[in-house]
Amino acid sequence: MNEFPGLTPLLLTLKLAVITTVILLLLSTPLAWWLARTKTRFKPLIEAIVALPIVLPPTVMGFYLLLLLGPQGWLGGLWNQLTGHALTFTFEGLVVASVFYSLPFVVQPLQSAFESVSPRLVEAARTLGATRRDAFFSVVVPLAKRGFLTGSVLGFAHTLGEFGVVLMVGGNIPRETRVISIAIYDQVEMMQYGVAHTLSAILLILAFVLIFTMYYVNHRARQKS
Amino acid sequence: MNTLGQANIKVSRKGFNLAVEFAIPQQGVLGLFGPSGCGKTTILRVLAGLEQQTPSVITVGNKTWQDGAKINLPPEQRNIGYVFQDSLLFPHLSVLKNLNYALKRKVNNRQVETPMNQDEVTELLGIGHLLENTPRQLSGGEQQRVAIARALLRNPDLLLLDEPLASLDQQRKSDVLPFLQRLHRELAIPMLYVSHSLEEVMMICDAVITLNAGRATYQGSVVEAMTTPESPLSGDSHAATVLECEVSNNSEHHGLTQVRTAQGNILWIKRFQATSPKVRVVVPADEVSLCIQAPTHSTILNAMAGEVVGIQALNQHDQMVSVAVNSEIFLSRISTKSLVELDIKAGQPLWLQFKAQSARNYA
Repeated sequence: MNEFPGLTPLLLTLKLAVITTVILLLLSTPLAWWLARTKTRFKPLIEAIVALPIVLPPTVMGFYLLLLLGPQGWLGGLWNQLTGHALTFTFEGLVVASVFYSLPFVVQPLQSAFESVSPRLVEAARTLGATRRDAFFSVVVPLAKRGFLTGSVLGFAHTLGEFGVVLMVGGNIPRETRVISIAIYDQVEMMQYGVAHTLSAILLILAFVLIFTMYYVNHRARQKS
Repeated sequence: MNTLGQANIKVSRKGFNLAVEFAIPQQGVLGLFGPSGCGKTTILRVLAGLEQQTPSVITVGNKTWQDGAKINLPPEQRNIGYVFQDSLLFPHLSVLKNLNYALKRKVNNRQVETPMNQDEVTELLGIGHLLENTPRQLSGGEQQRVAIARALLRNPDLLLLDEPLASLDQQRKSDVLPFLQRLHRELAIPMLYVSHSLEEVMMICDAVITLNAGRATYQGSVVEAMTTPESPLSGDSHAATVLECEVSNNSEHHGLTQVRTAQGNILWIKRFQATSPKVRVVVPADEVSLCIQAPTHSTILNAMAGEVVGIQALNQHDQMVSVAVNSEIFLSRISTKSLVELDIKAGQPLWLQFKAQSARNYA
């Protein structure tokens, strides 16, 4: 039996989205918490840098990431020393690029969720014996859980659909960097509308189900509170 | 008075300077009284470790909580319970889980040998029927009682109460007040009580520090603070005589209770359900009238001979007269007109009177 030609890119895309989302949550949580609480005058600058991927054309972002992740770039060079190969045109490079690309979609919902948690509740927790870290996990995280849901879904869904950055940084290497959006493009180029139809429909349904679930859960949570 | 610790609170910010030094009592309730903006809440926040670096020095027991920049324990390492004006219950947790939050992190406290368990605390504050509710489902008064219970379950050395009644309306206040009085009566834990209500101070506090613009203007017992001319409270238009009394005769027959003051004066007050032999009686200065001759044939049950020891003009029309009865000072607010017409002067013997119904009692 012939394997469905879209299966490998589909699985690769899901793997990329899952790994990216996990890394994004780990990075964005401290960054968003810091942004939500800091009084530094550099805050607007950091916020603007984080928000850039929303407005920047993916090819522009991809171009700079290509320079950064290539063997001559400082991140790519460092990676080369550690592993013996550069980050460009590899799955790892795709993960790094996706993290930059989807960062604002996780940081922004988290930051606004953190900002809506009253600092005075944290003070109350501290007077009840909670350390800074304990108060964060026992009070802030549960009260910001909608921000975590929104951030995860947007980060995941946004990574699923990326095209321009992948093309610039990862190219089109089967099993390594050929993600679903690239595969669809390929199929259309080859006039294989059937496979393109199936893959597009899968992506459409997946994205819709994710976003709908997020809105539905948030709607329910709002009604309950 | 035995002291638990010493606090020298100093905060200087733009346009605001606070410098107050006081001893933290080992038991009883110390009131911090003053208008809003005088710094009383800031004092609690510095004690709790919630304010940014200040040059304050705080020692409690044999432990230094803060010594300027050298030592500054974080809030979780200071054995305090803090009751905020607006409860600050955790909205994502039920009442029971809010209580457990404190219980899980409670201090292993050598000073309090038998910490109260959850059943005792919920019973003390009358919240046993609310445990399964979420904070949102509670009234303001109930929320505040849960907040007090939560602070107590931390098993603190010191309970800090920041205007716990200020955000409640009159009806809700009466949901909480009896429980605060109960804490005062039944618990050994020392408390600091911040308030801008003189009535609350008279009801709940044993000692008081009056504050104005970041400075302490008077420190002393509540009884003295009301009658000592140097205390700003004695000139307050709501001033009252505060007397620590013992019940001497609880006569059901008349619907009256007889009490004996510390100096042996006998007073009749409205009958009340005595839960302990000690009772605090508050006689508002407005309710006390003065008489040059011994009053006879009067319906007013309380009449005592005394001597004028001080006269303070409150404003053009009102005078506060202090009358010593067996060396116990009673306050009487009279009009300037009466003062002039009766020619009342310091050192003059006279009689004072007030109705049994006008005295308020607080267990």
